[in-house]
This record gives sequence, structure tokens and C-alpha cells, in this order.
Amino acid sequence: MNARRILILALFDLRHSVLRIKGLLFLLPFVLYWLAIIKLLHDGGAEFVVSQQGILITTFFLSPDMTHILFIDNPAVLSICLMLALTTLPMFCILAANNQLAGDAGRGAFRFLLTRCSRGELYLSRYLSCCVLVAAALLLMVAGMVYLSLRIDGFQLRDTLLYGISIVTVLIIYALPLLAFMTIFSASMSGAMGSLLFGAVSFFIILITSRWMDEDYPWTVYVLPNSLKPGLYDFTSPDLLLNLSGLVVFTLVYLCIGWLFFRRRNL
Amino acid sequence: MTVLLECRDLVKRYGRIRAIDGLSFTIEAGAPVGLVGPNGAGKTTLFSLIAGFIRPGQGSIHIHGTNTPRSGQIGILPQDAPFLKGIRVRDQLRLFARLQGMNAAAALEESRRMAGDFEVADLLGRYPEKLSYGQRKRVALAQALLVQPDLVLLDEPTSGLDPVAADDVRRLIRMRARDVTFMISSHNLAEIEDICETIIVINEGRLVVTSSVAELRGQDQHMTLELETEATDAVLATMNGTAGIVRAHFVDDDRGRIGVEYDGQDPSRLQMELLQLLSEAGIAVVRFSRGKKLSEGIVRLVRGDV
Repeated sequence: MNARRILILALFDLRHSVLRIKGLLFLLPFVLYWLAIIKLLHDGGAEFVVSQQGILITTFFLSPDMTHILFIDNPAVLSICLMLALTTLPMFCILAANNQLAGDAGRGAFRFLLTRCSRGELYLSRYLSCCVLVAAALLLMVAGMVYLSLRIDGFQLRDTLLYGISIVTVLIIYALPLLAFMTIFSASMSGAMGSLLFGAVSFFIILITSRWMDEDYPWTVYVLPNSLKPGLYDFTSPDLLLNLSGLVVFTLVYLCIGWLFFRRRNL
Repeated sequence: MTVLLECRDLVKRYGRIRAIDGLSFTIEAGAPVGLVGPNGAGKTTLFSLIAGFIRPGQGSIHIHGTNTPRSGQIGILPQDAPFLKGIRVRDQLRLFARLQGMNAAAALEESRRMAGDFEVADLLGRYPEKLSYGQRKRVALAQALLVQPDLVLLDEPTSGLDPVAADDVRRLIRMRARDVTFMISSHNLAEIEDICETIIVINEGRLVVTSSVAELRGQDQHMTLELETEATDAVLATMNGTAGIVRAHFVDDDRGRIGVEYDGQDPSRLQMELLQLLSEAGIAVVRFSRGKKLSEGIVRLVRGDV
């Protein structure tokens, strides 16, 4: 395994994914979605959430303590960003990571690369490229939200920036296992569309089934990283580090499963 | 000569089909090697195994004694493999060179040099999917030889090309044959004969023979004479009575072609004697060739006639 080659491959893939279908399939919906959210918050949505009525509605979904932490103790705009991002990130990660390997592997386009780099380097570089793309998108989105928060929420610059940095860090770490989950499908399928469909369907079937079976089989909740999501809202909680470590473990497990498929497949 | 490639007891199954079935052979560095066999013999599978596109079920492959070849030690022109879509030829060649250890500037220089050598410099700014079949083949050949690999596998390098383009490709291969070892799979036996010194014949995933081209053609045991006029049985009988001749016969009952099998001793003397004999009988020789057609030798081997 050669770190230099992994970096070369990852940067090459990143550079050429951004403006191709592979990257646009993620970037376009992501940008449109967050532009709509920013507009909504800018046009009075943020004020509504921190109003008495808004807080009352929020308590249907969150505990009063959590509501207080998110919308009173911290900038509300950024807290809304965190909540929405944690909810929608699985969908965006499915779009971003479905074609890491599947398309090129199915067409036999790796054949010119395989005498120059190992399968492992190819596998990790594609995952890394995907992570960087999603991380960059999240960073830009949170930067926009920080700017909006400074104009609306009225918190100190330092507090807002620190909260924004914490949010982007948590979101990036939460994205890692979701992208790795899609790597399993991308490594085993021979087309981007198949990988997208199987990945999305599998994700949502597992999600629904695990919710449905969690009383009899509580371990099913831990098949997907979503089980750790509730522990990612409160940055002051001592469990945060444990949850983030859990996400890293999910990532490693998914990457190992994907590798089992990729290392043996005919390319 | 040093052993460049060693394949030992290779087995590759696709379901219940054994595409490669216990194949073992070695290739020495230097002389170009041809890989021939009928359709489905396992040639492309063998190349895919050597290049690492697929994994063998059993057996091992060693390049210069190691089973983990360094980056770019093997170059390959796969049969009809596509380049990465939507990425210019220049960028792909640069990527390949960088993966083989070059820095950005050297990679750019190397890709330009190879593009120049293979006459694809004007294609560098284009997308591979927009190139013609022949242009893609040239670019693929250029990438196979980037940064001078030790072993270059060429799978049907001229298939689908017009005669002029095919001749260009053969010229380019011959030009490079001094620097790298080629292993060429092709159904075009004239091409193999023209470029290669050694031939590996496989059939049904098994090794039939590894031999020199001269040996396979039976160069020291066969002659063929094409005559301007038909020869009589008497002429043939005289030939059969000549010292050193094992058997003389009309090829495919064509009295204008005589095949001669001889004992391999002093072929030049025998050649002169035969020409004189025919001249005395008033028969002019239009064409004289030593050895059989390569295809005849290979067909006999594959069918198990020898």
C-alpha cells in the first residue's frame, strides 16, 4: 500500500468527479436543498423556531432540555442546520458514494490502472475522494450557515465559529460510515444505477426493519450508524466522544465488508 | 537469459468451466513471445491473470521472482478495454506515469514523448470515447509502454485495424522490442511469425507446447516448391530416390506444389540438387520455401496429431 499513489488517485478522481454525473448527482440536490433551507431561515424561519410557538413544536421531537441546549444555549440557525443535516445526510451520502467503483469496474476501465496500483490503493483512494467531496460540501454549507447565524442569532463571533466547527466535525464523522456503507454496494455491483438502487433500498429496508424489530432484537438497531445519531446533538455530553468513536468503528466494518467483495471481483 | 515471468500450476474457473487448467510456463527476458491457441483457449484469461484483473483459483505468478510486481513493471494492451470516461487522453497518460513514480513535470514529459513516438500527439487533448477504434488502440499501446515496463502484454494488438494501421502498430512493436519483452496474443499467425521468436501454444486452458517459431514450422525438415508447370509422377519418384529425402509428395494433390520432408542434414545441398533435378525435367520453380506454414504446425499440435 503506497500513500503517495492513494493520494494521486484520490485527487485525480476528485478533480474529475466534481463536474461529471458522478459528482453532480450529489452536488446539485445538495446545493439546491441547502439554498432552499438558507432562504427559508433568512425569510423568517429562524425567528419562528426560536419563538415560543416554534420551541413548543420542537418539544414534540426533542426533550425540553435538548431544545434548550440547541435553541437557547447555542445559535438556533446552526442548530437547525445540525438537525437537518443529520437527518438528510444518509440520502446525500447514498447519492455521493454510489459510483465510487461500480461504473468503472463494470466497464473494465480499471484495467489501465491495475498494473500501476494495487486494488487496495484503488479502493481506498475512491473512498477518500468521496469523503473529501462530501466534507468540502459540508464545510461550505456550514460556512454559509455560520454567516447567516451571525446576522440572525446575535451570538458572539467566537461562540458561533466554535459551534460551527463542532457541527462540521460531527457531520463529517457521521458521513464517514454512510459513505463506507455505500462502498459495499459500489464494490460489488457492476453499474452505478444498480449500486444506487441496491444501496438506497438496502439502507431504508434495514432502517425500517431495525425500528420494527428493536424490541425483540435490539442489536438490529446497530446495523446502521443512525442508531448513534441521537447522541450527536449535544456537544457538551460526555457520550459524544463515545458516539463518534462508534461511527469510526462502523466505518471500518463497512470498509472491510466492501473490501471482501472488491478484492476478489473480476475487474 | 533471466526468467522474467514464471506461471506455475495456474487454475482459473468460471463456474464449472476451467478457463485455465494447471498452466505452467516461463518467459525469459528479451525475445518477444507469441501466445496462440484457438478461440476459448484461455489467452485473454491468462493475460488477465498476469495483469491482476482477476485472481487465480490456484497457482502463482512471479515477475522477476516476486509475486507482487512493482507499479508499472507490467504494461498491458487489453482487448477492447475502455479508458476512463470523460477524461482527456493527456490527463490519463499523466496519471499513469505519476502512478509509476514520476513527478508531475516528468509525467507530463513522458506522456508527451510516448504520444510523439506513437503518433498520437494530436489526440492528447481529446476524450477517449470520441476517438476512432484505431486511434484508441494507438493510445492504448502508448500507455502500455509508458515508463518502460519490463513485460508488455498485447492482447490482439492489430485486431479490427485496417491494414495500414495494423502495419503501423507492428512497426511500433518491432521498434520497441529491443527495450522491453513483449508477450503477444493474436490469431494472426503471420504477425506472430513476423514479430516473435518463441511461441506458447495453449488449448482448453492447458499448455500444448513452448517452442521457437523455427521449430514449429519444422524449418529443418520441410521444404515446399511451387512450380510453374505441373510435375509428373516420374519427377516425384526421382525426388523420392534422392539421398536425404524422407518423402516428397504433391501438396493437396496439386501437381504444381511439391512438399518435401527431409532428414535435416545439409539442406542447402539438397535444395540445389532438387532445383537441378527440376531444371533438367524442364520445370521452373516459381517459389521455394523452407518449413511448413506456422498455422499447419499449430493446428497439428492443437489437434494432437503430434
